Amino acid sequence: MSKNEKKQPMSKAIQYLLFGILALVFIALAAYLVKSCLPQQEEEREQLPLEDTSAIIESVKPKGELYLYSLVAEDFVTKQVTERHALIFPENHSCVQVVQQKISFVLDLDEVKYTPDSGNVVLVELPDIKYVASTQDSRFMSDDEDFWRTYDTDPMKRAVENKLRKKYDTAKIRKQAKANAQKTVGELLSKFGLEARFVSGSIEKKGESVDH
Amino acid sequence: MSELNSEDIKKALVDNKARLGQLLVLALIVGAIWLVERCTDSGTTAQTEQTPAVPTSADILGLLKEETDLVTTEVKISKLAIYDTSKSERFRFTDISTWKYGDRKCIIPVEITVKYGYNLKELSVNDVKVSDDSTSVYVMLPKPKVIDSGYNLYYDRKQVVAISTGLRSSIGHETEEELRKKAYDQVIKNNDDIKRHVEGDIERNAVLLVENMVKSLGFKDVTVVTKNK
Repeated sequence: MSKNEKKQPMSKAIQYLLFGILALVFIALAAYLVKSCLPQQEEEREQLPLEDTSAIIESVKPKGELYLYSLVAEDFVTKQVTERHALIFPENHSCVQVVQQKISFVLDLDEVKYTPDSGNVVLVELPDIKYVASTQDSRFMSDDEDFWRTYDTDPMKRAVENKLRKKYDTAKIRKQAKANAQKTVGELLSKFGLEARFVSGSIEKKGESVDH
Repeated sequence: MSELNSEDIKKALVDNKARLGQLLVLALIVGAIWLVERCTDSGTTAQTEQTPAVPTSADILGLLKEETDLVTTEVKISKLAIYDTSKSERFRFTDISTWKYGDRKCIIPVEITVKYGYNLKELSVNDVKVSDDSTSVYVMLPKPKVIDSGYNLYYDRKQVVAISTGLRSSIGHETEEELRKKAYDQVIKNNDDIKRHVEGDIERNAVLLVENMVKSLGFKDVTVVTKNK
């Protein structure tokens, strides 16, 4: 009797040990499943064939812009959010928003004022140079596409746009763009046998400041 | 009495070990469930912390490039980026990567802007002819080309249709952005088709712009032609 009593707890311990091993196997299996499902998601992202659809022309607008300087730049911002599972287990989620833009400095030709002066001289008043950014690529990368699905990415995009503008919309570049505008307009007028004289501010005040 | 006591102690020890074992197994199972849940994502999420963006140095892809391009026409194009795995994917018994249960479908409208114009550096002295009395001018513009293009950075997510069925992962920002970029690339790649449709407008706008510009310089008779003719 006493021998049986001694054997029972031992067999129980072996049972629990077996349970433990089973649980470990279960964890290993789960980890394997996780690992095997992740590359599949990657693959799904890599292969995104588009259906053939027609491009519809919405509008055709006349413009009069002179592109003076251009560059292609890329920047990004990151974001981290902590998710709590069952109010206990924290899990950090991260994402990156990348934006690539072509940045150009543009002169609106409609705003250029030409005033014929004496002989073949034309007084030219240039408006402010415009900063124009056109998006070439916008990428969003995250650790969990499903988690970030409902998140609004517009503030992140705005942050990247502002970063790019802060970096490239500088007085130095604007000065270079303006010099290029003067050179281009000057060359263009010379082809018509005219000499351009650039004035800043109002034409009426041409005598006060003249940029040659 | 003393014999009984020692047996009781032994029993209690074994019971304690058993309880410890139970706790260990429970902890392992909870851990496993949490791990699986982490992968499949749960519906009850709690955003507790939002750290601000940590910017690092920017990658500059291109250096400042001097240009003298004259833009005369801006074309707005709308395109639907359609992605449907039921049409693009084929099941193959021998290829395990094609064993996918369910489909992914997505439709996103993309707004593309293309600006056409002329490179003024291509304009030679021979292309501009002024009459002896300086009253009439003849200008021949080079062939038009794409000066600038891009697509909308912001878009209304209410206009996006995204469906994923079965065991397929849902469509989020990553897929959407990739589809938008692909749609833009497709339009730019087939730019000749669009250009053919708007060629007349590009030319008309160029003639009008250059005519007005030259007239404001004091010339009365202005003739502008493009090398397309």
